Amino acid sequence: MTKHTITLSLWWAGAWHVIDQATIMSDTVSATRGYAPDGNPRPASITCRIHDDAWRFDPDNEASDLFGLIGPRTPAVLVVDGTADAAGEVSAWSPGQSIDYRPAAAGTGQRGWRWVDLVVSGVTRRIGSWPLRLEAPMRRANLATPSWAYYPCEDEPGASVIADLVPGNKPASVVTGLKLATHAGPLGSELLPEAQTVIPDGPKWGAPLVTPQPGPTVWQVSVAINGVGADFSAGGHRWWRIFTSAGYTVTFYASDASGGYGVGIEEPEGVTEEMFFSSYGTDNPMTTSVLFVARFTIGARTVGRFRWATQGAPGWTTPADYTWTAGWLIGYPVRWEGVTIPKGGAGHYRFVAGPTPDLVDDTLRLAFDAYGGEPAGVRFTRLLNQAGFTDVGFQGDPALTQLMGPQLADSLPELLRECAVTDDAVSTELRGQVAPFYRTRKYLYENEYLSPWVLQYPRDISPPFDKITDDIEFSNVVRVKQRGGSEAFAQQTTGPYGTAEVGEEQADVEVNVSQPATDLPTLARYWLNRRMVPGARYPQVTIDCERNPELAARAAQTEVGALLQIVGFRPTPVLLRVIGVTAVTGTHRRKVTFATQPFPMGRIGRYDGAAYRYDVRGCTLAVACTATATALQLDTAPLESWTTKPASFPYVIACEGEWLRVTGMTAPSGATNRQVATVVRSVNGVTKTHGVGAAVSLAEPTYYAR
Amino acid sequence: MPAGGDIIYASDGTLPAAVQVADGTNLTGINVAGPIAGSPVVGVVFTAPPSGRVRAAVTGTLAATAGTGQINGLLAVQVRTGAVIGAGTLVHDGFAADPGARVVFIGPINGGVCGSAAMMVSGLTPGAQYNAQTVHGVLGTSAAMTVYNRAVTVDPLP
Repeated sequence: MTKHTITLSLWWAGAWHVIDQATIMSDTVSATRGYAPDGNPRPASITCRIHDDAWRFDPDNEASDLFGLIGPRTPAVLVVDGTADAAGEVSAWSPGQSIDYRPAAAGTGQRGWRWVDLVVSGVTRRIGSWPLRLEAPMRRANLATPSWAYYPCEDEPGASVIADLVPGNKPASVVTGLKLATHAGPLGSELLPEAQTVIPDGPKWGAPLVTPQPGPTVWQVSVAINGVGADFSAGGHRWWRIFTSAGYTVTFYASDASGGYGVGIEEPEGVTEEMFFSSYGTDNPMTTSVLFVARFTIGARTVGRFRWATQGAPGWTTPADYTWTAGWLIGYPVRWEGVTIPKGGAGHYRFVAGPTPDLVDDTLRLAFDAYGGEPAGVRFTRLLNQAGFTDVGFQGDPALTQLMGPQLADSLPELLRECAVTDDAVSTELRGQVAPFYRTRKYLYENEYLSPWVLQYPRDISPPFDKITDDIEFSNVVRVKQRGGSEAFAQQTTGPYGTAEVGEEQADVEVNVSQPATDLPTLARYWLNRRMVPGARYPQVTIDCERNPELAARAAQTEVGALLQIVGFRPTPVLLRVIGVTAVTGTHRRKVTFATQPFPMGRIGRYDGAAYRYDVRGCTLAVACTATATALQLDTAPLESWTTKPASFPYVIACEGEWLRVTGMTAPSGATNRQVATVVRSVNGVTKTHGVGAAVSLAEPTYYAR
Repeated sequence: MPAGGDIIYASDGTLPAAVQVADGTNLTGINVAGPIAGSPVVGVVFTAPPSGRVRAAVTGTLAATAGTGQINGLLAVQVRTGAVIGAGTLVHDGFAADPGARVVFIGPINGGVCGSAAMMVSGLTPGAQYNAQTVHGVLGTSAAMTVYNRAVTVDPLP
């Protein structure tokens, strides 16, 4: 028997410390990772018992040298025979002792035992419990670089003031007629304030600004405006007004009536000096959100620069820099006032002193767009990085993952789940590091599915290996729903599992794709294929590493998402996808159990690959045959036929569970494309007669990858 | 287009043959806004290819024979579900949709147009049967037209 080397490493005082085999007291240690058998996400876990007469590993034991160094969240890694089984953070330390425990004393030896039970949970347990909605992308990006003042205006409905997130300024006042958290803002942002009626002149909502010292000669401002539903009938189309230290005012306009944006400058006497104006064309703020940026240089005949970005559109609009021809701007901002147009929404008012950071920046624009069009893998990593997780395991190219729609307001675990489901990736945890782990769908296709692990039953598989034919994980109606948007349905009506035969079994899949109109219908069909797996489930596959030591190494390396091909259990091989792994190890025993789900579509086709063949649609038996007949007459649909090329023989077809090796095939003829196949019967051991109309297909069809 | 998880069939890349029906009958004195199919009906039944996309085209001649001022004439193709020409749910209405597959005449009496127009119709259920037919109509004060040389063509697309 193989003796297994088991080490549990704990992290404290800035280093890993190995708890060696002699200290691990439990008969076995258990490690799990991946999804639960029902397919739901589940954090990795390790359970083991440490022999600890001094209760050194009790975090609550003041006498321990580890007091204050260990506790909840202490990182841990379990390594068996040199390969990590799982990693996580200790979520429970439970000291205990045997009933007869008595410490050694003068003249008497120790009796009994003391121990500490450890439960280690993967980092996704902690992340998964975070309920707070993530900061809006726009807010996060605006706070990533220095500002003079920044008012996101995402304040709660009952707030009495509007907060400035840059220390030093006063909050903005809220006046009668202004309703907080009411108007849609940039995607992913919380709701913005909305003027319910025309807010009259006088004390408007806004705030004084504390002047930077020395006052800047260049200053920049930006605002996100959303005019959907705005009412211009009462006149006025002012979204923002800024008062300068020299008594000038700068006013931002945008209106449906004028069809453009404007920035006007007024002298202290109230005379309008000059107006920059540009038609917004298709960048209509009355239909979507627009991020408007302006830069001013104080002095005579200076240049102003104006840019805007429209939600969902690429790039910045770039009108030429504007030279004030009649007037000029003097002073730096000392106070501002917000939108006063009924039903108009605006927020994310930002001031920057000086030319840097340049607010015409693609980082800001992408955040304003809530990262619409971002690949799922890139978003997964970005979200975790922003949450402070610098180590994120990744397999595959993040750029080659499903393009996602805008990142809408939600909690981190929900957004991470959304990335994985949208890409249909595997989202688990690294086994040797306390870090999330993402395996892209494309990576699985190109690696795991192309080379499944072939296991021979019963030689390689230990009991229990049960099959269950039930309706779990089965659906013949699938709705794929876009986050906050449209939906698409796919339904299987015909066949033994179609709705006409067995009624509806519905399933819902929530995704967030960048092109819902084109992506959702295809995704609905994909998920219908995923859910329409006929036949039995095989919930688990167990490898006993003592009985089959030659399988131990590969079992240890097998990751969630791997494909298993079980041969010898039934006439037709079974394809199973690993969704979870549980390893139970003792000093002289080890079993690795894979939680699995049927995955016939893992047999993806590869163009021009010798092992891959096209199937033939709608082929049926034209004439009934005995169990031993070797010439079968087949009818096929128009445009379909079996290959007759000698070099292609033999190939294996299936009819009602029997596999038949084709050694010859005549050319199609007649109205029904009749072909006569010369076959070897019962190549998988199934022997039966077949009636007219029995379906004939490839024994092992191949599938389109998504 | 096949979706992920669909079985790969040999015919996935093979398109059914294009279908076309033409008729030279002169339909005179057409003076209704339509859309009407006329007699004989010019229509085809086709099977949607694996892509679910076809190009539906209409060809024909419109000649204004009565009316004052501006006369508007339309000859269009309509695509419907099912194998019965003129029946089923509309999936493309070249007569009313903008843009639509239609030949348009706008002009005074004695004017005419001979032309062809096509649109891609997508989202069809692969393997399902559909039908396409020409329809026409006339607008204008006391207006009437002759419609002739009608044809409808359906090209399966990859």
